[in-house]
Amino acid sequence: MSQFSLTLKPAQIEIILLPNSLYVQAYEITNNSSETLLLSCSVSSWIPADNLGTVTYPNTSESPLNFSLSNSDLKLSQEFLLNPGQKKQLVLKITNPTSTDTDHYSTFFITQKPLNSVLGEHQNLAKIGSHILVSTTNQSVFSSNLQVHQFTLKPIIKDIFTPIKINGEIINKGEHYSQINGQITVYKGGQLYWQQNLFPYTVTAQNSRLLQCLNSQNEASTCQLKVPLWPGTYQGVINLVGNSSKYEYSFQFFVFPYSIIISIMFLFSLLFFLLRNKQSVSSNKQ
Amino acid sequence: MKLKHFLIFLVSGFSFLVSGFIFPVNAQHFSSSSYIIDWGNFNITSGRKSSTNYQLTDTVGQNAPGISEKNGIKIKSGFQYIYDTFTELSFTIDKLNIDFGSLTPGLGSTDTNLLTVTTPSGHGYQIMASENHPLWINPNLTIPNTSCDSDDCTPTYSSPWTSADKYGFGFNVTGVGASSYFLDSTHFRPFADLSDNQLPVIVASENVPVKERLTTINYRVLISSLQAAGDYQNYITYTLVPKY
Repeated sequence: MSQFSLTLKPAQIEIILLPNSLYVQAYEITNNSSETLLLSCSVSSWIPADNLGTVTYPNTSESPLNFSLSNSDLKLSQEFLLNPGQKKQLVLKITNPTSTDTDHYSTFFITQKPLNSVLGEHQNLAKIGSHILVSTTNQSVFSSNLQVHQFTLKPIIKDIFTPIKINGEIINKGEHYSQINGQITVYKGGQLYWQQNLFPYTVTAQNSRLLQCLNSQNEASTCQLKVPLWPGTYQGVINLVGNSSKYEYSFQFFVFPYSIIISIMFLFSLLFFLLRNKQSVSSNKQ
Repeated sequence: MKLKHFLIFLVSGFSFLVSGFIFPVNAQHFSSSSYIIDWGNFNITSGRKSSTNYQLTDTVGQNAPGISEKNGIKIKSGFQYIYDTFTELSFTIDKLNIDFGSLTPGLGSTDTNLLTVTTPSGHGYQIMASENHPLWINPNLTIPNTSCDSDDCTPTYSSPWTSADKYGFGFNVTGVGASSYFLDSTHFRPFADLSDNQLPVIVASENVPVKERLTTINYRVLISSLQAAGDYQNYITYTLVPKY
């Protein structure tokens, strides 16, 4: 049995805080290991690192939000024991003393401490964290400002037997994080040909996320048109819902049966050369 | 006989209707000398159903199911919403003590750790690693962090480390999430050293949800014959967070 095994839920919360308002979130941690764990809680700020949801923790980061534990027997950074199989509820209180209109991204960490801190003891330690995305605002409702960015269709030469991948990013030009809510629709000859919902990633303010589609397992997957495709011109549109004004990104592509044409041309050329060689052989014999 | 059944039905129906006007209607009501609990709705059934072609989640009996939002307060009413957080974030390390035993100069000693990760639906993960300081007896007696065969590996860059005369302590990671960070099992790098103001570095990550994903940490330490005898130790910390 493992010496460290901890589950934490929920893994992420997204909240909006008005000035001087309060939010309380209950976390449940479970020690699934065979050992008693010495743990403590803390909150650290993070910044988005890329368009894949990766985060980085800067060396110095101070959040204007106030974090504290509502548990009567526990404070942040205070150590506590969790026995094998034991569950514990940690109630995090977040208060917003500011009136600024901005976002704060943090992680609520459960950190393992060395149970036997005698010098000369070597031990690996573990930390597990749950993200907290907070928008502080004076407005009761705010709209998104999501846009399609760096859109590409691959491959460049679109054949009827080559799947077409729809790539790009959804960029958030707003001041607050926002969840992607939209779909890609492809039409052929004015008729609906293919439609898929976009994966509802959360896009942090002034950042972007990779454009992905929601598959049948409710997971993210590459947006891709399956083969075979009918030759002709296709029109596509990406709709993003939630922006203050209607947002649509249109695109168009042409599919041609290059592989069939090339194969036929190759066969004809081969036949032509074979016939010509045969003719020249028979004329030489004569 | 039919008339008798009809009368029973009529009286029962009438009693049911009247009781609704006389007594307060609570979906569920519990009381003791100290507490009264009234539940707003009485859920009959809920769950996940599936067939070959369809998947269905349902809530029966919920008052006003759906998502409601006003003034920054969001209410998700109905059991469907528990599936948002149905899978928790889970992190397992098979053993916490890595003991290399007695080291032989010029002969690399190795050990492994197995990390297991489960992430919630819609979230990938990143595992970061760091050491509190290099392996040491005290700050003046250390086994240095490896710089690999070409003196070029760093906490953020791995390179081959197979030579028997390149001394130090380092690690390699294998697993689906580690392939972007370690080309193969011969590539090593040193841990990010917190005592040197370095920040924990990502050593494995994936962008898709995973269930019980195994990642193997391979530690390696190699000393020269000049290395002072003694017990060298440090703490290695692995940090797991979901991708947001």
